[in-house]
Amino acid sequence: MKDYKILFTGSVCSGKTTAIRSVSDIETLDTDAQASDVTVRRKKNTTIVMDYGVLDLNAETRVHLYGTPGQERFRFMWDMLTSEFAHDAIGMVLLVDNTRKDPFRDIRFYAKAFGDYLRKRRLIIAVTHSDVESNPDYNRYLSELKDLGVMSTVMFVDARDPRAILGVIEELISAVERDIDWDQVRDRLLDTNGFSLDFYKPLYEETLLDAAMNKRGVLGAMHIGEGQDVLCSNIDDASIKSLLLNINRLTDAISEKASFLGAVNNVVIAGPKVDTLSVFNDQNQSLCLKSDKDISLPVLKQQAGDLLQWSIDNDYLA
Amino acid sequence: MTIWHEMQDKGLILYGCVLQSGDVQASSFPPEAKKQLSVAKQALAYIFRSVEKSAKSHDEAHLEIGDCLFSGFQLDPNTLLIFLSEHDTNTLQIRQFIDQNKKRFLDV
Repeated sequence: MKDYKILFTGSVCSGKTTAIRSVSDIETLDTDAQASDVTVRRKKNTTIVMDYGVLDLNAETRVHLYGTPGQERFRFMWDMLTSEFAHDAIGMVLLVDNTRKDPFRDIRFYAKAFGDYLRKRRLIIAVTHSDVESNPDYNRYLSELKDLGVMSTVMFVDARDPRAILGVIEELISAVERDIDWDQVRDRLLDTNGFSLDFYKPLYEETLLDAAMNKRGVLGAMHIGEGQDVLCSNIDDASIKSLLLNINRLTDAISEKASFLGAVNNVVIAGPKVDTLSVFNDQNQSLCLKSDKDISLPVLKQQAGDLLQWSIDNDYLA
Repeated sequence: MTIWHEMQDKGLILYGCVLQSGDVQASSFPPEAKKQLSVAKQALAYIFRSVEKSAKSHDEAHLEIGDCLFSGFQLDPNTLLIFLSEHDTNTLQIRQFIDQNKKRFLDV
């Protein structure tokens, strides 16, 4: 028996669990837990350890499919998967959610995070949710990847469709296994696993503020758009609101006058006996948070970054 | 070993500086990082002035710009510490170091 391994990764809600489930011949091992952070904006459950499935290509060839958790705070699992379970994988599939405000930011992030791992194996970028948002299109991906210096095949897929995910697997395996009857595998999967649209039903029901308030420790939030317009806020304390607006103006000024340093990503002010105040910038918008002093800053930063990826310009969430 | 070297050895900072009433009292910022220091001084001073106006007691501020992290710690109304670190530095460890070495900073 020849065993191959493929690692699936990508942001929260990009379709990793769904993709593995759609082609697996076994009941997939899902390690979902109820989401307690920003992911509630998109779905109720999120992978916290890993996904695992198996696909038999024929009597002698089998593919083990591993999926990472999407959230960076489970990074220890990324390390464990790349150094243990899937250290000998033939390739990595990066699922990219096309409804994200800046899908290329995800590509940059994961290409960097898995940089060492990708030195020795192929990367396939599988773009999902293009039925909801068709832009960026295929050509834009090719052009951006060229600019980023990322060598990868780009495929637009529906993670629920076993034919599409099998196509990704074929792209990786067919170079080393020439005797697989892919059409037969495809037909078999359609018979056994089917193509159900019920695998994944996105929940686009929360506002940015609601999602922010669902984060443990967040006590208030304010969303600022272009031109310093307050789009929405539930921070009642006028002095805190004014302080956050001042800091937001400062970030604009620094980004303009000290452009040699790059853009201001965030500003955090804290103290031993006061709530933490922070401003997170993302292109033409900012998210200001008032949070409990005991919440760790790295977690806060990641949550804010994810919140901003699904906001303002995303019509599906308006 | 200076306090700056000690912090560098612990991986907490790249450079540091003590400001007294806005003037540099001691600094490990090299000449090539002069522009960065200037931006950090102005930005952090503005932040702490704004904090003072709002009558809040925040004494710590962090600005992440590109790959840099500028941190400011108000030791007393006249003394401000400024650090430049890698953007993913654990700021809690910097805070703990300052709390344990406050007198040394004031004596620098």
